[in-house]
Amino acid sequence: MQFEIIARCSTTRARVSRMTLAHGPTMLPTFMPVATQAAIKGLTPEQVESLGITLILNNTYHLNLRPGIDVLKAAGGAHEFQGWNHNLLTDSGGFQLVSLSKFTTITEEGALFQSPFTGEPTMLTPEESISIQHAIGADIIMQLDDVVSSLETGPRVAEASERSVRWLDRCINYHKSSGKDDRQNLFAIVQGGLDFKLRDRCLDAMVDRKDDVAGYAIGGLSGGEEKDIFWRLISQCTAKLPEDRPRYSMGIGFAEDLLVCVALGVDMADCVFPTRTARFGVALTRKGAVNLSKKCTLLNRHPTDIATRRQS
Amino acid sequence: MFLSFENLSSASSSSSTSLFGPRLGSLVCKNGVKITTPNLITPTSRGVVPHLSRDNVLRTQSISWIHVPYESFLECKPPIPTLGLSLHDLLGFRHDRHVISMSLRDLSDGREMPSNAAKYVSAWCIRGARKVTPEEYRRYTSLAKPDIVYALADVQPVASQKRLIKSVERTAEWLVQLLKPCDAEDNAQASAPSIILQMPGGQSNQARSAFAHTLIEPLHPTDVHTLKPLRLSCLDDAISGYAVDGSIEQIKASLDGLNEKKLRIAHSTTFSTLTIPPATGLSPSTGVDMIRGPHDMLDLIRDVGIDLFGAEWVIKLAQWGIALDFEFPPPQAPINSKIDSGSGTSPKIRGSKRDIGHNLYDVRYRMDCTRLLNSNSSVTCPCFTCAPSSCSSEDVIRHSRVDDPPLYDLKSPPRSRTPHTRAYIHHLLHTHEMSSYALLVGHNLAIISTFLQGVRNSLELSGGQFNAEVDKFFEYYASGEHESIYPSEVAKVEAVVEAVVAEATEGEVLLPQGSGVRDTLTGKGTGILLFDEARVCHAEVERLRGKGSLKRDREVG
Repeated sequence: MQFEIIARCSTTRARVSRMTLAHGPTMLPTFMPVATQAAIKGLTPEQVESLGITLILNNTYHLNLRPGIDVLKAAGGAHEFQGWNHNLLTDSGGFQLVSLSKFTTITEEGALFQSPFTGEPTMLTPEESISIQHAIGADIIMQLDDVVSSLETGPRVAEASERSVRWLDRCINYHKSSGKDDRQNLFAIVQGGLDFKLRDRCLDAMVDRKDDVAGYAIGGLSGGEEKDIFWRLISQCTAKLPEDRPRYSMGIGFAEDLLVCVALGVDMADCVFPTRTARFGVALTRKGAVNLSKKCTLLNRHPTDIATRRQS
Repeated sequence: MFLSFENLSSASSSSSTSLFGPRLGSLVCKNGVKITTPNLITPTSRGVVPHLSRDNVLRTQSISWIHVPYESFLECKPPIPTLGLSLHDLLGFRHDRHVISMSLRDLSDGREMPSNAAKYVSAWCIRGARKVTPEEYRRYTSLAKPDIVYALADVQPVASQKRLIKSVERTAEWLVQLLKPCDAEDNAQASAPSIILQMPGGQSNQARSAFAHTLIEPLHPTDVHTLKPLRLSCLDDAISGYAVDGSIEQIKASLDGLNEKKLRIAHSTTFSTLTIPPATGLSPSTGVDMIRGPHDMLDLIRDVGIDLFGAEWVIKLAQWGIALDFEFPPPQAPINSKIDSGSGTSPKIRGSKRDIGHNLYDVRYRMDCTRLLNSNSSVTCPCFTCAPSSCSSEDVIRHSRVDDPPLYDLKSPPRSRTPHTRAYIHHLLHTHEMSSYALLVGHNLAIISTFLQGVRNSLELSGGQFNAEVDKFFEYYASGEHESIYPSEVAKVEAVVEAVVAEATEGEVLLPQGSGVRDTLTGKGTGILLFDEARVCHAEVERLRGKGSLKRDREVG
């Protein structure tokens, strides 16, 4: 990965940078649309490309179930499979384990969960997660982290935060020994819940491993916590994370949050919000969200967003 | 008049068959759009080509005549197309590329409807049935400004002779009302849309002939007066084409004696909505009563000289996960099952004939990383699925100055890209991704268009060859009549459906009792095994992963 900062904001921590990966350059800050099942909802890869998007996200958990790693290998990786020529990021699959499966138990070895189809107990270890992401072949891969709800309190948060560091080490080891680290870039995920001290400890530990990771994600947020705590935590993380690594705030999608994050020095974000809200009939415009399924928009003949029309 | 249709040739020269023989035509519309026939009419639902966004409509070269059933707009009052924008502008179709026709009812909708009356037609919208009077329809057409209007017709299936006579009379009367010039619109007469007439008469050849006769007899004195500015000698003069349905014999009865230099259009009844109203006690007519595939189209081209086909069934197949893969003329090489192993296979062989496409739900396509068309196909499919291309770098939306070229193009992607694969679309179908339908609709429309191009090429060559090629096509590709379904075939299809369900549930087969596979295959289906197989697979995957599946799981567990 090549990462170079092109410009900096004079008042905030915002920065413009160019991240060059195996499938070309991506200008940052950027928003990554989510192609959970190897397709941005309703669009063809060519349409996504024409929107000026150069980095999308696939969900490891879903791709592992369907089409399955054997199919992805036969196709020559997820890029080939979905006809996407630009950059791709995969998550570790940990978040979906917790959000979709009721019976997940986290052990030091990995996440033990019930397969949603066969019902058999299945173990996802950090090594296994990286191995799956290697088969998918994304340009950016994420460490497996121990995810707890951002509203969780107590010793479980500390445990998760510390375990995420230990799992990061296992991910780094596996990734380096696989020989795939020339084309795929491993990102660490900073945990620590809503506790500033925990965050700080996690940050320190992860920054120590800077030479072995290509970038940092800020995890464990955007789960219903107060905005006042949210921005403080983001600020705390970006202040401590190394300048010369891209920073990725996970699960951020509302315009206000994106602006705050960028001003605090975040480079990347992802969320299903734009694709999901579109499916519910809402158009995002420069004047706010417009619910096109409502009767009052019936008589409105303006294009949904005049400002975005091409000047020619 | 908007359209001018020129009958370029009749393949057969003998006078007795030339009226209904296969024919090649050229349709020139006022906006410069030229359509050579036989060709296809792209259907829409609520004014949208199903599953295709505007840019994908423009990417699809085979879309030039677009048909808009108006009834789906009736849910809003006033209907949106009356608010000031023409259909072209409202729906984002291009004046220089697309011809738009409009009918009140969806001609492919076979559902049972409240009966029409002397003063109105029953139409269907999402909120239920609506009554539309000829006056209202006339207003709708004048505000929507389509290029072509299908006149109101009373074409509901009816049982009694008396009702049949009424329907014929009404259709003629409504046509006169549509034609009647209004003072206010006199100056707009020049841009008046062309008119297509849906031929009434139902199951009765007599009624059909009688209606045809009404069209060409001299105008009734009262009509002469009202239609004076149009200078018509008979109603037929005001019509650019006929939309026909029914069996070959019924279509002949409808068209006999009429001007052969006019368009003949056939729309297809959508399979899922095809019902025979129990009240009327009618049995389905034999022969071609709906267009189910290329076989029926070839029949209609050869025996009654149909020029344009509604492509409703093509869209339906895409929704069931079928990717069409056939060509005209058919491949020369005899059917050889040896080449059917591995990737890039041709469609399945059933009995001794080949399917016209692939049921992509089938587990056999899970790892098949080849394009949709089989590797021996001589067709070059131009669709955005088989021949996707990156848009040029100027067309990519740039979000900021730093995205500008040349920076952006440091590593310029290749213009043309590898085709989307069977395995990918198989995956999208199994995961309910909407993109699958877009990719399949684009492909299927292109294949039908290429097929009709093959037909036109064949018709252009000296006579006789076309009929021979049609015979060969029937020899090669399975048309799938009901009679040809053997129990062994049904069992094979059941095995496929079971495997698809097994894949969708990762091993566990959850086919419910009486899931209707057998029903669909032997009676209530389309009669074409490929279609029915895909339809059942689609329904099962939909049921397993679709809305409410979690709730059902809870109830079962």
